[in-house]
Amino acid sequence: MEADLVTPDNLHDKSNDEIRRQTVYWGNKKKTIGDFFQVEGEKSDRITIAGNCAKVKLIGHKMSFGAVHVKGNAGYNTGSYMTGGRITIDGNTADYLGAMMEGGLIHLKGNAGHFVGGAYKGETAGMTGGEIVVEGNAGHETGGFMRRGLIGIGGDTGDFAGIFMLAGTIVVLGRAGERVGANMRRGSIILMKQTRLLPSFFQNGVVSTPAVEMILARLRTLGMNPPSAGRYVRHTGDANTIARGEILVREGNRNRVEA
Amino acid sequence: MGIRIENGEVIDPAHGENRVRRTIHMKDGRIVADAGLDATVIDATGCVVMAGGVDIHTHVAGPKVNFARLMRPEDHRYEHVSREDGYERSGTGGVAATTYTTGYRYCEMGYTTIVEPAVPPLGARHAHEELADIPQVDKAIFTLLGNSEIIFQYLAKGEMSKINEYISWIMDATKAYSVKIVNPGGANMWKYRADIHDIDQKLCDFDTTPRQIVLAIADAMATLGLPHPLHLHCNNLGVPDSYKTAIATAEAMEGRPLHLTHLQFSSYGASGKRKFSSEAPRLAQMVNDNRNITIDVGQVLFGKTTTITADGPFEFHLHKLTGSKWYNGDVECEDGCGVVPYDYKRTSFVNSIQWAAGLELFLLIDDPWRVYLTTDHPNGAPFITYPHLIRLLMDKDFRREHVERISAEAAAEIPLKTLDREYTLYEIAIITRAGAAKRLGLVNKGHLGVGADADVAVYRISPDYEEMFAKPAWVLKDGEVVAKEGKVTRQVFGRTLYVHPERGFADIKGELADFFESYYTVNINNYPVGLEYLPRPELIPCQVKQND
Repeated sequence: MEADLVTPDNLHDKSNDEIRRQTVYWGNKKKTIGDFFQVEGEKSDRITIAGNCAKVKLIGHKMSFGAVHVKGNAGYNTGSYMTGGRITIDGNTADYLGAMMEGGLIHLKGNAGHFVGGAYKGETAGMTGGEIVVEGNAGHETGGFMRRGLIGIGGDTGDFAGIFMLAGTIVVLGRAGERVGANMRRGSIILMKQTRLLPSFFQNGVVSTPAVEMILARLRTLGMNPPSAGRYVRHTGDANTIARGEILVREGNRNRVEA
Repeated sequence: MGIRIENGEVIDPAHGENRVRRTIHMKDGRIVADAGLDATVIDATGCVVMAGGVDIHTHVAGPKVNFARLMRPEDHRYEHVSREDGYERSGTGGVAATTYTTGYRYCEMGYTTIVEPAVPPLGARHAHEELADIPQVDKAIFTLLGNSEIIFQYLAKGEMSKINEYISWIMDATKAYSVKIVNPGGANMWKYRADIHDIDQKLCDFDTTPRQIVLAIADAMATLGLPHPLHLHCNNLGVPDSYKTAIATAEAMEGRPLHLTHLQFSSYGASGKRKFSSEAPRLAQMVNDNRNITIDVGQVLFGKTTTITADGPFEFHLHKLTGSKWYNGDVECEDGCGVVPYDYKRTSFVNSIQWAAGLELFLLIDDPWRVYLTTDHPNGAPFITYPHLIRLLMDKDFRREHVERISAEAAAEIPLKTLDREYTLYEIAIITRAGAAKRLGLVNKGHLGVGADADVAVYRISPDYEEMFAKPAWVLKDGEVVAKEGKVTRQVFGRTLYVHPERGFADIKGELADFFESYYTVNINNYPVGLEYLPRPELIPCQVKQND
């Protein structure tokens, strides 16, 4: 089901009856919200969706203000193109969470699918602003083509996190998959656990910078649990492009360099 | 049963009618003198009535359009048409839309005839299969011959009559309507990693030059009596000083009829601080002075688009310039092609100059019968922007607003800022239908005289010309209402127009078979496209001259 109209922008000034009559596509058939959902409550810019919406796509598509709370799972393209406001999802989501988003905040308590904050196929820039926080794991190509903004992953990510990244920041508290930052141009990927990096990244120092601490502090305010201050091994790349990107890997016990 | 359109103001430039209040009668797909008493009446009060639009140059079908579709999935996520909205076939939109969507959109703007101008002979079968799926409009293809190695061989040996026979055969084998040349010799040179920069430059493996290619093909087309003259995309297109090549090519024709296509892309000079300038005034002067030349503009409008052309080397140049994804195609023995996405930006100096150069061509060419409205869809802009372009031409205040929004550096340089000409509705009717139909040699199109095809567009008069031309009140195809208020109401299929030159190819039959045997991957027997690929064929007669 394609529920791109389920946003505060569309529904905040509509009565419950009007909301029930709003169009949603069910496959290629035109249906209404009332065919699938019970609608209750007063006019407001806050929407709560209860139930398993794992097959409901495009929740919060292009939303610019207000709040959407999904008590359960959400489907593909949740929060795609959003420019403001906040989406909270208690369950899991499918692929393209916050794809091409420009602003606002997405807080996902479960696991995300592939292409978190990513670009749709063929597009040259993915997420251009805003924040995505995933408490669970994320799939492949997390933050692919990302241009600005912050993605925090509490668990692990699949392969190719930050592929073709243009700028922005990705923090992975768990373990990142293979080939992190492949073809990245600029931007920062902060990893808390060791992983095998591509040969096109070269190590150039150990840093301990307030910038990283500020980003982690921000994630802490968003309900995540990053480790306290530490030192990071800095890798620059991807040397196949202009190599202005960096991957910061938290210094573990194994490779600690005594000053 | 017939249809009568009453109370409308008829604009029919072919008969000199400018906003004449008269009734148009149509029956059995034709304009007639009297549709009879039982005719359905359409009340066109407050509307202008014109013949259906004719687009002389729009890339809508064939292999390269398909590559553009495949290459840009991001292009298809906008503006779909859906069965749920009353269309018979759903389709994806975007710049390179699906076949059905293309047909619907043309119809919804009041266009009823379109020409796909660049089909390599080997792609003709594919192009016809796609055309068969484009509803609402009549269509035709031009076949690409400017880089054909068969022609080069005959040229090098000076066997002109064999070129006539070959073109006669290829027109029949591809069910084409006329011949287009793209970068004569250049796409062939591209196979040797080179390009052509001068019309007298020799090719690599063939003893011939672009000048000889163009003249030989133009002469052959005149001999065969093809209804539309040579449709030419000049060498050196899209680079500074391209205007010199365009003028040299036009001079080389020595009075032969010639259609220079998307001339805007050949109208750049190398003056100014940035070594890039609009030389449209010089080209407009050249067109004004040479009555044998017609042009279509290929206007650039700002926004994202996909460039598709048989000019392989130019697309490589564009790819290097933009870093964008790139497709390069080689059509064996015949031509090349390239596809590169491009974003025309208002803030870009070069793009702003391009935008202005197109409008300057429109405004500085005095005779509207020799300039036709195109955006070289999708190279300059997708065809759905025509209404916007019409408003830019008709409304100088609107144009001035847009000049203020382009790159300030460009706005200071362009000749456009001094031009106050506004197109009238009458002139718009010429550049969008009457003139183009006349140049295509389509005697039944582009006018509303008795006997013409009953393809009619009725536009509700409004001071906002963009809205007026975007949503015609009624569109009729073959005497049936097919769209109302800018929305398709009925799906119909138009005809495919083709020619069949009388000349035959008896003298070269054996040689052709040998050539195919040696160089083609296709057997010559499987090569020609049969009439079964044209669901509604319409043969347009050639006007053969007696002395060869």
